[in-house]
Parts: sequence; C-alpha cells; structure tokens
Amino acid sequence: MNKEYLLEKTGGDPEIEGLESLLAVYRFEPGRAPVLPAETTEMRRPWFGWLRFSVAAGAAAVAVFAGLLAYGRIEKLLLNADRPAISEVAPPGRTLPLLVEPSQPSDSERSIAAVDLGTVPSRRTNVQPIRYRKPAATPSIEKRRPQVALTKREKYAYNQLMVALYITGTKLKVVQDTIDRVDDKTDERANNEK
Amino acid sequence: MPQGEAAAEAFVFSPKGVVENSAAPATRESELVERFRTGDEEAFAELYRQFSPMVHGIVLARVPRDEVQDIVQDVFLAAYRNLKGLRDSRLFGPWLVKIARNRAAEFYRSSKPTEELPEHIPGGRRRDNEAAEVLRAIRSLSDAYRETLILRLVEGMTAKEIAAQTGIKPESVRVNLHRGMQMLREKLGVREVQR
Repeated sequence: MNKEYLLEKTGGDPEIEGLESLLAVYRFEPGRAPVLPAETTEMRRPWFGWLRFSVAAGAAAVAVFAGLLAYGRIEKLLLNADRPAISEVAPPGRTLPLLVEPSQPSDSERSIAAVDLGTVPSRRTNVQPIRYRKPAATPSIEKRRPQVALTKREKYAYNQLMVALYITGTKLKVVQDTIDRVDDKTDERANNEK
Repeated sequence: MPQGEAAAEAFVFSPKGVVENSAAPATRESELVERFRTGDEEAFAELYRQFSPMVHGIVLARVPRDEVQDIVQDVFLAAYRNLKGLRDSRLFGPWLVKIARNRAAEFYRSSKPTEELPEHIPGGRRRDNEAAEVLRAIRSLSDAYRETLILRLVEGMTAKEIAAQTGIKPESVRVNLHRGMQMLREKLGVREVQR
C-alpha cells in the first residue's frame, strides 16, 4: 500500500485506486443546493397568533349568542305550552288591570283632569293612590320544569343544546385564559416563589 | 437551536477525543462566515459548495444511502439558521461536523427501523454489489476510522483537506487513515477467505 497516495493522493496505488473507483457511485453529486427558508421564516409574525385567537373568540361568542337565543326561544315555548293564553287572563294589552277608586271630583278638578290627564294628582284631589292587584306568584322556571312534559325529541334537543353551551363556555374560558396569559402568570409566580 | 449544536459551538470533538483548534488563523471559510453574517447570501452558497462533500461523507458513514441527500440538506438548513450564533467563525467546519453527526443520530431516533438492501441483490450488477459490500465493511469500523476512510475513498479528499474541514488534527487523520485502511483490508480479506 502506497502511504503517500493514501494520505496526499500523490504517486499511485492500484488497490486504493480500485476502491476509489468502486466507491465513486456513493460520491456527493454537486449541484443540488439546499432549499433555504427565506420566505417561510419571514411568514411567522407574532400578530398572526392573536388573529387566530380573535377569530376563535369571535366564533365562540357567536355560537354562545346563537345558543342563548335558541335556549330562550325553547324555554319560552316550553313555558307557554302549559300556560293559559294571555287573552284568557286579561284583556289584550293589559295584563295587570288597574283598580282605581276615584272619588267624585269637583268641576274645577274635572277640568284640570281633562286638560292634564297625564300629570300626578295634586294633594287637593281625593283620588286614592293607585293600587295594583297583587300579581299571582309566578312559578319559577325550576319549579315549572318538571311539570313540562317534553317529548323524546324535545328532551334530546334540550340535552344537546346544554352540551353545546357547556362546550362553548369551556372554549371561551380557554380563550380568555390565553388572552390573560394565565399560564404565564402562574409560571412567573412559581418562579418567583422559587 | 438543538442542544448538540449549541455544544458544537463551544467544543470541537474529534472522533477519538477532544481537539481544540481555535488557535488556527483566519481561513477562507471564516471569511465566508463573516461575509454571510453581514448579509451576503452568496457566501453561504460558497460554504455549501466547499463543505457539502465533507458533510455528505460524515452522513454517509452512518445512514442509508437513500437518506443521505435529505440529511445533508437538513444539516445545511440548520447551519443557515444558526450560523449567526456561531461564536468563532474559524470553527465552522467542526461545528458543521457536529451538526451532521447529530442529524444522523436523530435519523435513527425519529425514523422507523429500516433495513438496507442486502449486499448481493439477485439480478443486481456485480460492481454495485461489490461497492455495497466495501461500504458496509467501512461502516462496520469505529467512528474514527469510518469517517476518515469515507472522506478519503468516497469523497476523494486528502488527509490535509480532511483535517482542515473537520477540525481533526492532521496527525490524527493520518493515523486514522492508515489504521483504518489496514482494518478495512483485513475485513475484506477475511470475508474473501470465509467464502
């Protein structure tokens, strides 16, 4: 083995030359330059993350609003289903009728009243204070809920809605925590304690 | 920056031990590194042309041939991203060697276990089979020998070039080449006898 050829490629050595030519198939082929990340690194901007969070928060807010709207409608429908129609309780336009017991006004008072009906009655008038009929105690939603007989489909829809609201609420909390950077603050606090 | 690459900035490891080559004078590659730091992209292309065979050899000593080109690109991509953090521009070569070794090691950590084609492929060309057998024999040697042998026999670099680019002492390169060649001959000879 020619040591000079092995180290500095001077002279010649058939054995090493044979190995070189055999292994030439593995030699590096120049020309394929690496794909440098000029654009990809520039594209990462800090505000992009906030934009994503804003979009997510907006979508969650819309979902919650729609859910609440649907929830209110369903609740109203459920409450109205077993409540008697308003027309059966009171005449249209007034659910709490006034019970006024006016005394007989004098002529002058009549004229005043004719002119200024909307004002507060003066001390001189004998008009009794307006008394409202005590409204019947409205049963709360919780009390009413068991009384409502829901069909199977309605129960399913109700449960689905509750689940959707729960999920949306959780997502909103995550977004809020991210905006407030709760984790960062917790980490900072832990570091400070250390 | 991966931990290994950060470590590569501070120390230069030769296959057989620590070699500190920071006393070396400013070289052409250190000038290219400085030019790149000032925003000259063409300087990095020049560094790529100069060091790609060395990186290719380092990677080829460890991973299957089909994966080598991708890993070489990956190494230069990592170098491109982190080069501005390299403290001593004269240590670019050793730093690149360290990245190449780390990337080759990561390949085995992250990829599914693969198996290279056998040395003797039925129907394959005899010369290709012989080349695969020699390469396999070189890869079976220890790191110190297989890297220098591949850089010499596959990439065609001289001992001086290997020392200059990898940061290994020239004496160590000479010893590794000489002993590695002897071990390779023994391995190939032993195989021939076994047949």
